[in-house]
Amino acid sequence: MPEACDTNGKLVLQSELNQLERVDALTFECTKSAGLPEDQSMMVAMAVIEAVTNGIVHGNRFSDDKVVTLEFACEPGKIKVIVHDEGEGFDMSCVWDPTSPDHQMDCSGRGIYIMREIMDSVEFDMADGTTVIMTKDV
Amino acid sequence: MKVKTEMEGDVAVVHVSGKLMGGPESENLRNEIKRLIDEGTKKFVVNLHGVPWINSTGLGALMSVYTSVQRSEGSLKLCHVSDRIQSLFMITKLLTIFDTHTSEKEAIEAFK
Repeated sequence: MPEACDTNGKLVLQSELNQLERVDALTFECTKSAGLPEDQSMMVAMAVIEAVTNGIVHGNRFSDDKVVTLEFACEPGKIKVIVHDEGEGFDMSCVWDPTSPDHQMDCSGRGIYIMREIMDSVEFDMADGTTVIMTKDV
Repeated sequence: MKVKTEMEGDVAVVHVSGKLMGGPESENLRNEIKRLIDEGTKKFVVNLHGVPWINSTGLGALMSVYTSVQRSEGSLKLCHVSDRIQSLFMITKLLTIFDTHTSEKEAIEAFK
């Protein structure tokens, strides 16, 4: 049963990968409520899953003491998703193109690329933990 | 995530079910492929029928087993790839890497 959601839902998640199922269901419901077609809702859910995965794995490093916050702040014509973790941030210069010949066979490093391919904008703020702000036009 | 292998002649068909999201659970798949490689298996079909979606960490697990099989001079094919996983393959341009088939039978016959 999907969690109830309007277009401005918020979810506080423990730093465990088994939370991703909740993220998937909530994102799908929120984006559909905001008017996004089903196939695009599925794609946005994949982008949000990547942002939350990064927060759990690379940000909070699975810490019991830290949470990942997922927030939908939608407005007419635009879906805005904010994902915040309590980690130490990361060096953007270490983010490479995973489709380049040098990195195509890598076993990691595709999350941010997937987010950028699916969403219309992806921004990072590392002032306090890492905050990812993504938007998708409806 | 559950992993179960059935031998079809000299082809190991590895059935994966559950969410492929990385973390310790992905080790089940890596360990099973490693065990089969150690036994001398060269032909692999990974059946993703029971995997509705994956994330990039799960993609990494698939890349890891693909590379292990390649290094052992074997070959790995995928079958029953959901639309959602297919979309991720397309975005990340892994469709050019993975040999995907619609059915298990088709994947096994592709080895002949």
